[in-house]
Amino acid sequence: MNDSESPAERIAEQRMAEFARCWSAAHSVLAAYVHSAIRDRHRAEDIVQEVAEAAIRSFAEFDRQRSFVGWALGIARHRVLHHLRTMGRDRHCFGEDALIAIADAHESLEKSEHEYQDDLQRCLQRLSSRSKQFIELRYRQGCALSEISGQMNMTRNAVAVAIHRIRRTLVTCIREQNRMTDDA
Amino acid sequence: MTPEQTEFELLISRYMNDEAGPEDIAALARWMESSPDNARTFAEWSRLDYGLGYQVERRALPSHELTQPPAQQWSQAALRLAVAACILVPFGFLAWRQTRSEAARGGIARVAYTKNVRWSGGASVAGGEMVSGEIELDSGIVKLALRNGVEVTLEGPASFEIKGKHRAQLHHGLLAARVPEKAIGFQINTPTMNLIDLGTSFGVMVDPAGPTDISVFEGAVRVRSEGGYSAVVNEGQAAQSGDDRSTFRIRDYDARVYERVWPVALGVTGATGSVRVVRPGPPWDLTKHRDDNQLTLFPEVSRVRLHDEIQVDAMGAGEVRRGKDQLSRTIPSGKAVRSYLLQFNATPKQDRAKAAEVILDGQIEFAVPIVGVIWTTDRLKTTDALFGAEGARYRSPSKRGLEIREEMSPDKGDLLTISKDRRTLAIRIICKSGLDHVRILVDAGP
Repeated sequence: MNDSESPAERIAEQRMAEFARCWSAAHSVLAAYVHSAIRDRHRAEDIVQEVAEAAIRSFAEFDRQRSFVGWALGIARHRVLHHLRTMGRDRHCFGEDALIAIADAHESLEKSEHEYQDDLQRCLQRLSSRSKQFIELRYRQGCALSEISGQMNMTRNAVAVAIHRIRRTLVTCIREQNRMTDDA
Repeated sequence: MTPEQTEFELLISRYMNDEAGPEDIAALARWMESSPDNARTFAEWSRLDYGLGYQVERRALPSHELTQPPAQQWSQAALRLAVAACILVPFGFLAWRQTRSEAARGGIARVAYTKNVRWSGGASVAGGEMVSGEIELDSGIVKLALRNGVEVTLEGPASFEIKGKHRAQLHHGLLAARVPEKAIGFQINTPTMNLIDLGTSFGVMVDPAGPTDISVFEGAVRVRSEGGYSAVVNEGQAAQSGDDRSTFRIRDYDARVYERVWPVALGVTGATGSVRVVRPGPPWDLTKHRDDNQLTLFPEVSRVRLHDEIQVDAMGAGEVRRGKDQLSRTIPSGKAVRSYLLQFNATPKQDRAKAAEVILDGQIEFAVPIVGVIWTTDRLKTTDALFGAEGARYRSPSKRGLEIREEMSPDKGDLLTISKDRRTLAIRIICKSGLDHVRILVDAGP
């Protein structure tokens, strides 16, 4: 620590380090929540950033007895709702009650980001190479189903079913990983 | 699992495919509001969707294992952020926001393309990301995609430094840059002149032993010398620093200087055979580009998001055949694409019937996958307005498309082949007189 720092600066530094730790642990849950409510990826990233800014501004008021994820999800919910309201009525989006239900549900997911990514990694390894190809096309290349159908020489519906099954396989696999952790 | 759960899981999947309609979304909302377990199911699927996007976007999905989880990377970035934030917060929140953003996204810039690269003193790049703001290049070509949408293509030897979201420094070397509308105001400093973009693409060359050159390919830039002299440099012009560093002079630019980096800056990583990429310059009059022995590739709109789906003549990998049954030839609405036009334009002939037939072939390699190819006259005409380069002059005679080989007569006609990875288009066309066009649409990202 720098001796020339004032007590106020030292407190600010400690608070920032604490915020960084909390944010690091909560980031993916918050981002998953925002991305699930706002499908425009760039806009969702902006909202996550706005949540970070709002959270850091109010961090001094954060009650350390509470869950940081729950507190930050509250901020995220307001930001998402505000964004959806400003987008106008013609957009297809969730209402306030659904957003509250989704935020509560995200808070209830137990795994930390690190653990979750480990589980996801293990589950991805179990997929067939063809399934990985679907994931690659959909998530890395951002292909629409019609494009994937052209590349995989399948009908669009068959692609939708294939991707749905892969997602369900992964969700089930991650649940199993959770159960194994709980039993251990 | 109940039939109701199955039905809602299908709805969630449709929502994640961005294909849910208002009724689907209303049904999903009702289902989630009716039970915390249902909302939890949606949260589990959402977390997976985000986790896959995050994980797969950052590195190719490995066949055997996935590497360091993003959480660890974020954690390290967050610690750097905490320190940075402590320093920056007293000076304003915006500075912190930028640092956080860079940290959260895992790097300062993405390395979009490299060719024959030799780094100087170790690579500044890991996992496709710039890990520090500085890049030292002994030789080769590197294309960087900055977080604000600016694309910088460097040719070694070069020393380049990103100094912030809106500012970079070229210490020495050569670069070509394209600045999208949202990043207007982007600034590049050199030892003698500073450049502020006014919505454009341009080249900068800093020769330690000679003058600095700033050439404007499209739009305009404001150039300011070390001595405070300032002027707007328009497309087709170049600013060259004077001996005393305090002034510069404006002259017509020499496009040859940027010939190697210009195609890469356009997203074209290779052009072989009879194909050449048009030299940088003000809006082209395509009718004036005539050559009996070459196919010329023109950049068109650099990014357009489709409001409606569009029909194309080919989109999948493989040889393109007229009448070939393909499952889908529609690019869906909402997709962002970039467009190029490949042209054969014969010189005028007194007797067109006596003109000799020439076979021209070549390959064009793009930095990103091809999403559609248009080679029929009607579709070319109807898509000129949407994809055409701003200010460019197009000729639209009654016939300008290719005569692609038919499925049933495989040896007769023009030939187009899209490679398996959809990044390369091979072309072989029989030219005689008149005009042939092929419009190539590539992925312009999310």
